[in-house]
Amino acid sequence: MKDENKPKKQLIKDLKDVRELIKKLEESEFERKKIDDAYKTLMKNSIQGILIIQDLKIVFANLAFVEMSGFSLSELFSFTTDNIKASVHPDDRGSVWKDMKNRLAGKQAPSNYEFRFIKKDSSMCWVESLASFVDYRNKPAIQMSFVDITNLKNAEENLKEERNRAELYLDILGHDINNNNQGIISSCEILLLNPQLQDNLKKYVHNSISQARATSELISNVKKLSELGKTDVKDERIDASNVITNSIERIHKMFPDKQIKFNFTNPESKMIIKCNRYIKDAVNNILINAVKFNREENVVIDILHGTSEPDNFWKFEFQDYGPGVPDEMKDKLFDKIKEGSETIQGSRLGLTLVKEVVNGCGGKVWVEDRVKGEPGKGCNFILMLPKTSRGGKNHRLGES
Amino acid sequence: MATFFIVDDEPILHELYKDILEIKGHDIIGEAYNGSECIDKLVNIKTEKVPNPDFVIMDHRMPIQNGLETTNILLKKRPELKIIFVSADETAKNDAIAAGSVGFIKKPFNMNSFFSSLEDLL
Repeated sequence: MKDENKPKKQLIKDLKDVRELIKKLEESEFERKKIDDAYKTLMKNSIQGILIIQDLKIVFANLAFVEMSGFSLSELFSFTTDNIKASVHPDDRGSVWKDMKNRLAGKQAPSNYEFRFIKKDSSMCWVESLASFVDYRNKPAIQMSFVDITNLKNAEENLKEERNRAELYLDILGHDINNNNQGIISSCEILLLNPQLQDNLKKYVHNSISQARATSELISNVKKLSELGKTDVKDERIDASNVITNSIERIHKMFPDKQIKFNFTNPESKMIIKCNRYIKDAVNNILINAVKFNREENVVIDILHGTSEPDNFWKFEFQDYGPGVPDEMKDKLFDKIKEGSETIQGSRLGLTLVKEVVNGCGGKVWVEDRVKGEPGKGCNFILMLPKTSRGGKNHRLGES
Repeated sequence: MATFFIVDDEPILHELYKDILEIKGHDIIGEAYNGSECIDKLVNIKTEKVPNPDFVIMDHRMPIQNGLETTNILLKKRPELKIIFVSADETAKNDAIAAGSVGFIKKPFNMNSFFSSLEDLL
């Protein structure tokens, strides 16, 4: 073939290349338009209100935002900076505006927050807003999406009010019942001093005192259980041996008519645990149960202590010589309130409090027979409480 | 033997305090049913002249003026008074001690522990 054909061939090839390029550009443009249309449909029809703010002016708003705010599109597009500010509740304005300016300047700002939005009719709604820095028509802008969370906020507020009211009623009820119990207990104690009171009647007076005390104990446990759920109950470094010693002293005072012997040897060094202040109530409740359910006048309780395997828990065993707990009841002792149940099983909640406190600090509590296989010979309440060192390292049961 | 002034809004407890304290030979020389009445009798002397009590038994939750408010006023005017808080409201304990009370006994108490606490103070 002669060389004069070469330019013609090249021309045809070049033409083909150009046609392919044009085809690719057309396809790419088509795809871009498809994506653009899909994006516009999404923005327009989203149930979330969407705004784009550029140069401190609203340059885009979708239908959902128009409906949410009550302002028309033209009103929104003609908003001044002051109008934008005024649409945020005064108490929230400072932080929202500061975040917006930071974001526009490319600085760090939270991406989501809640604030109160003022609608055109001056009513207010709570919104959760997600904001991001975007490129809109080749210029920096902020895209914000809004979800109306007014119902959620109202529900939270109602829940908080109900909780406060329940706590108030519990507080008033507890206080007034304890005051009334004082009348019952003191009257009974004075009656017991009367030499004319026949011996066979004294037991009824003792019963009245013990029932009044039990009511006070129940109130105390309910109050503490309700306190445990609060965030201001913090863990502290506590000397467990001190807790036990103080509890022993308290139990002697609570049961003046019983001869109680505690076999407890104070350890040579401190046994520091990390737990909240209610650990003393947990130990009190274990000891109260050990004494209360023992019908003898002379009561013996052995308190053993040591370390667990592995060596990151203190182990305490409270062994009594009372009537014991049948095997089928052992697991149920600590769960007086079952989730999903409308009834409280049993009463007094003392061991429920023990479990909540101990579990809450990463420990464990359970009950065994004092003599294995012989439930009638007394209980062994076992407490595992996490050790803590000065370094503040806290171990949780089950973790290495 | 010591003298006591009782401040509590429960009339039945006034009677019981009298019976309990008399067991140990103590005397009740005055009483009030709320903080305001206590101030009138011990500070303002509006009704009768009350001799100096050795101790004031002070409840906390009372109408008109509570135990803490009363203690603050009492001790400003009569710092020599020894006030023992006896209350079912344990949350008041720290504030009671901070206000200057010499002791806090939680209700309901049993007689032996009440006497034991008094012995420590007497």
